[in-house]
Amino acid sequence: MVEINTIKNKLKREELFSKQKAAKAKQKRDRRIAQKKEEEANPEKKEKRLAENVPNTLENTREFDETIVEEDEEVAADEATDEFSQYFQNGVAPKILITTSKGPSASVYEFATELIDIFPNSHFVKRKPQFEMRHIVEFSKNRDFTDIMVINEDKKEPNALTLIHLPDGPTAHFKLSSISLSKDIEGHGRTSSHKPELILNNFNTRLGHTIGRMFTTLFPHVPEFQGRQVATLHNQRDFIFFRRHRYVFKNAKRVNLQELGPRFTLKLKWLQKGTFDRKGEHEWMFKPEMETSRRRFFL
Amino acid sequence: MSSQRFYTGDEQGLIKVVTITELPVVKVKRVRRGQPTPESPAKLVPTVETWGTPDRERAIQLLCWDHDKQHLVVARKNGLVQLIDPKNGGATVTEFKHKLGKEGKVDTVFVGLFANSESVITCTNTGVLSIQSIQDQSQTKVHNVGKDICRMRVHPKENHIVATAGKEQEFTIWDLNQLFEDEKAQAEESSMKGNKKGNKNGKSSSSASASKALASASASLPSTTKPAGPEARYKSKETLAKGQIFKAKNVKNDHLDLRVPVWNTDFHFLSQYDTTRVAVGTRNHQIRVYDTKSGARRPVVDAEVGDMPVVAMCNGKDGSEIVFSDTVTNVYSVDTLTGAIIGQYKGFTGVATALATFTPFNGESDTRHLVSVALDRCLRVHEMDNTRKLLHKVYLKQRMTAVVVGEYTPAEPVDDDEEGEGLKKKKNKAGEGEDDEDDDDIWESMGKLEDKKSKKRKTSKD
Repeated sequence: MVEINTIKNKLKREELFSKQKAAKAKQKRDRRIAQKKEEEANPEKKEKRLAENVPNTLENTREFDETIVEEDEEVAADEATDEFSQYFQNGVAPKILITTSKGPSASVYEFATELIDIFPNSHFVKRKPQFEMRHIVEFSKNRDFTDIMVINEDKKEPNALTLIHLPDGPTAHFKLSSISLSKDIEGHGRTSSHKPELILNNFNTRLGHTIGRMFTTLFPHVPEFQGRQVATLHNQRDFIFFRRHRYVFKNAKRVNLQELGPRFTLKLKWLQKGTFDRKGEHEWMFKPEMETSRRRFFL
Repeated sequence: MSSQRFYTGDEQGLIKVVTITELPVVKVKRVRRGQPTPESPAKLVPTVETWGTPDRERAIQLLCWDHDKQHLVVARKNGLVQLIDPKNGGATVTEFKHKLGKEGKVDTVFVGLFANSESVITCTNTGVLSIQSIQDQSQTKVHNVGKDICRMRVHPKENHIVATAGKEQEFTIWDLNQLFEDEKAQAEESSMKGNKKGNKNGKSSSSASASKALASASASLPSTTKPAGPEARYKSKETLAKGQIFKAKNVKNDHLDLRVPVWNTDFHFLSQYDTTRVAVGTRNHQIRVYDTKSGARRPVVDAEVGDMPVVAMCNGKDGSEIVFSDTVTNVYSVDTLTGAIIGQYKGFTGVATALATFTPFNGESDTRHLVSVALDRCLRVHEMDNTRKLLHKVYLKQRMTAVVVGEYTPAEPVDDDEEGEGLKKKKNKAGEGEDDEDDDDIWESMGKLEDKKSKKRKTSKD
């Protein structure tokens, strides 16, 4: 066998190389045809091959995280008495205040309208410049709100969302990106005022649990199933994707999904103990230095 | 294999005993040609033992050792101060109940805790400094040191020197001997009498002396207006109150001639041996060093560090360095002579709520280590040299609030002869007999090492 790249003559080299390439392609094609025939005769083999052939992704090769919660008495006891126990133990229904940063622009109002549509029992309050966040927290506590949601904007676009759980915190701050409002989604359905079901995906670590529980407290305990509306918060690589659908029963076997919108993506920037305080203690804070690996996730 | 213990307290009122086992220093032997190099032993998992049951009302606010590290002193949210025997699986030896109410919307919390062989000194954020005798439950001395106290610390060697600081509370050093001078004199008298009686009959005398001491305490309370001590040094008209030996003065007005607000969050005595130099951290992210010897009431070093409030502080390698944490999860080490940041300890994802330093290997090492617990539910051990390397990180499942450095268990002396090994094996068996889990772990890991050694020996004989 001659090493092709040692041949001096360019024409000869090209000829040989194209021949070699064609031969390789044919070999692969033949192998695949043979495999297909074999699997058609014996469908179990295909199943086995598919089951074994799991490609490596960032998620399934994730760095080991000791804080991932499995069944653990201590964590369960911690969660049973944490700041969200009002919702989970005592069954206090959520009541949400939605507001904006000072001097909001039109796009923020549009986004706020969508948020009001998502969360049942949520109230939009126009932000007055004379009130600081700590005042708003006190006012809301007096009015029995359970959560405050503040939309922040930059360059006239919503860019961050702060969630404050009342009365004792915690406060979470998310980066907000990839917003598409309902009206921009092709073929979107019209929403109804039913209480939605909630799907939370992949909130596995101790921090993820806290964030997941925080989102849970935003939705009523018992959904109205006749509305067939589902809100999904899907965590993938620390990005939390929000989607909202309605499921449509085609017949006894088939179910279709109709997207209602909006879509947006959240990324946790920090989690603070207690209600919002600029000088408060942070339970978790993202720092660029923590990005040591693409396979390291925190939620 | 040597091991170092840490005791931590958390929001659920659990005390966790973290035992970090250091790997033995492997002596590099000459490796013969053709032989594989010996593998380094696998990193050992720290063992965690938990004392207590989860209860948020019993959340631990402060932890400290009493005299000679005999008992662990725990201050809890519900006002309970307990002495715990660490050798007896966390059994409570004695406990005192302090009444912690709510003042307005703010919960009363403990801001200072100290114990020696005679008494437990506590301080709350409402300014109630109380000195509780350990032997005699009823014997308590109480003094109000002003409201909104953020930290009280007692000098580790001179136990009568107590310092306080807080919100709009300048850093103040108190002398307990002076503060309770009259009472003490009377108490001594009574105790003398008590002792004389005590020779005859034991218990009744102590209670009698206690009641007398109490009576004397109540008698001497109105007489606190009596001027005392070394205030003559101060030029200003503001005289020191009884028992105070130093009171700081606010720094000069800023460039707009506005008063600088005072909000001291934490401080630390810079030296074990003298009480003169103290570093104070503030909520307005300043580190100030006061030197009481210099005669100046204003700080000798006043430096702005970072831009978030100081949460916790501890001493560095020596008096010239101090380590502090801030609310945005940074931990810096600062030079106390210049106020410049020397370096940052990395790896924190939550606020470090308590810091402590210790000399590893029972003082045999020349470096120091920094141990910290944080709201991100981890205990971390950093090296305090120029690398500031993260040595250990232990996930403890709870938001941590306090940490103290426990005892150091030195490595078993390694014997190379057969007898030693036999002894060890016997010990190993004995260890298996016990139910103690972490002990078992240690013995098991030792067993593995022995295997390796025996293999090596065989090959060398061949």
